[in-house]
Amino acid sequence: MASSKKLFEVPGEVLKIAEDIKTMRIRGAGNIARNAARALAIAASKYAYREGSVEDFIRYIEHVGRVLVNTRPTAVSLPNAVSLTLKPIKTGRFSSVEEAVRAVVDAAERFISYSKEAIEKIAEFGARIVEDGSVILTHCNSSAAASIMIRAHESGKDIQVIATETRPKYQGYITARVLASNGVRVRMITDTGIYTALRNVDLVIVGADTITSNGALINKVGTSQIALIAKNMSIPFIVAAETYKFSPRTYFGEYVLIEERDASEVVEKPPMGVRVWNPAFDATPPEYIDAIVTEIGIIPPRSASIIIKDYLGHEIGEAISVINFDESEPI
Amino acid sequence: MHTHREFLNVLGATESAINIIDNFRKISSRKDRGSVLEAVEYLYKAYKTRRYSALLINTTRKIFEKLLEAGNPNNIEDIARTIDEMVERIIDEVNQATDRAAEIMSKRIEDGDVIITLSYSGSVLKAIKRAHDRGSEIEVIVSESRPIGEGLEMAKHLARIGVKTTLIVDSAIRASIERATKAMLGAEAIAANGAVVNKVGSAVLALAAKEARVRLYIVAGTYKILPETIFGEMIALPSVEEEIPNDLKEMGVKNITPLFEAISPDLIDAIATERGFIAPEAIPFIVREVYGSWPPNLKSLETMYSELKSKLKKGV
Repeated sequence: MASSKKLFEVPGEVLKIAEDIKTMRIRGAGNIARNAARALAIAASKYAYREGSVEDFIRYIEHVGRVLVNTRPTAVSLPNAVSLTLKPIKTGRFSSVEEAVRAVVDAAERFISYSKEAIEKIAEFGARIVEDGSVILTHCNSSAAASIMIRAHESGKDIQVIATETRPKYQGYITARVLASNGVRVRMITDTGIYTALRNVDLVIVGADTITSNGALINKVGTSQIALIAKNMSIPFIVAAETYKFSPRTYFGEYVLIEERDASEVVEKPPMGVRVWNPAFDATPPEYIDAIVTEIGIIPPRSASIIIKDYLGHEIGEAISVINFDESEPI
Repeated sequence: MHTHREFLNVLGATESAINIIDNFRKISSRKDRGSVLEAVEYLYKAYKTRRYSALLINTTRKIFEKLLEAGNPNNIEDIARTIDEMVERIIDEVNQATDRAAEIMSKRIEDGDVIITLSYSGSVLKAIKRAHDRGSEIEVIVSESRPIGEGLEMAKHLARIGVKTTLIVDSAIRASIERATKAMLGAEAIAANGAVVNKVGSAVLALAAKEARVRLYIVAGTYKILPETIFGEMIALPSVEEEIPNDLKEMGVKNITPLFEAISPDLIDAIATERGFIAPEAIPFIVREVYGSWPPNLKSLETMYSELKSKLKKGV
């Protein structure tokens, strides 16, 4: 048997993906999820001890799963993707490492293609509720939200999008780039401009990092103040979210940890005596959300638990109960 | 459309206006007809391009009024001296009013308060400094306030006087407000109905404060009240264009944000002025005190300007 240390050696390519998620070179909840699944497939394919025990492989691949999950704490899409990809090896029986490797690679591929199809479905459902002539405000960058706006535009609806720049990392530029290159009219505002801009907006569409079991939205910081103003002005506030962004853990009462990132993202060198607080996300209460567009259908936020129970329950719920991400494996 | 650069001087509303008034005096300092005319023209132009700066508008009115009623147009030195005296007095009055407003506000700052603010306001800074000097333990949360980002300057000033200071991005206002016990802002202008015009993002902060039941106070001398708004005059809200990556520009994308926005009076708990701590809806009372009547008897600045120009040219 290989030494434990060797056994747990994570391939460089996989560590690179983990590092890129951490430093936000890979970003966006959906994209992070797909990359996590891809990383697990790579880790499985590169596993060297094919003649060894299936148990060793399982311990190895779970270790990789933990390395990936521990990169960023808030978006549930990451642990959900890892759980869905590792579920077969937790529930199936394998006579060889080869078989188990195959199961992980297949599950990763299934997850990635499911995730892409989900965006298609969300685009289709979401575009139907965008009226011709709408001015839409969006925040940060979300492939699911962008897909709705692009589909609405492609279906011949004349829309205009206002994208917030989204400090500190300016993900609004990515949104503007994606939309404008697809022919959507875009203009940008600073994040402070939301109140004045919303006075001429018909609809807000944002993505999601996590949806809790009671329908709260955890998304890029700034989302909740847009929702507050939209509520005040009776502007519909729509969330685009694949089902794997719903958090089974919150169903069991857990809080979502809001990641706090480094001060240097806000100001290169904080002035002497000035502390910087840089939360990456905030929580939007369900009462400010009009609808969540998922690949299964459009739901009111308060019924988020139906997604967790009926669509994720058998999949993620069980997987989560068998993989404890918090427990670090001694090496 | 203003370019970013014009607003790059990160000064509060009061300081910016004072700078212009001081320039006006400097231009007239040669004390000949040409320079006095040039100074008057400068002031009028500054007013024309800053129809949001209440202090500048009110001061221009005061100066024009005084120059119209006083001085022999043939004695240009006399007129120049009037300018000198007036500017000095106005700056003194503004400073005193700000100090008094800050003093009144500081009485509402309690030990242990966490104050959330946005942009740079000399008046808010003075109020906090007074409370801090008195020995109150205060923490201030400052939002960076893009475009321009005067919040960073505000944070530097607060830290320098020893106040515990936390800087946040503008998107984190609502996320931070649950930690705040009070919200405090300066003003660019105060309208007839008690609406306060201030740096963009102020309305976001005001609504988030209301939602969290955090009281919002405005610190502003009554020189920030714009009496023209009583007669429907709108406060100009210029926009600034931010730099964005080139590829976006090439696709026709622009980042344009208004520099100011109005805070609805129902979101404001009180305005601390040098004349007292008042509800925003009580602005008419203050106007009556300051101008002697409500509605005030106002002559248009345009009319005053042309009268003043012909008066000054008469001596030629």
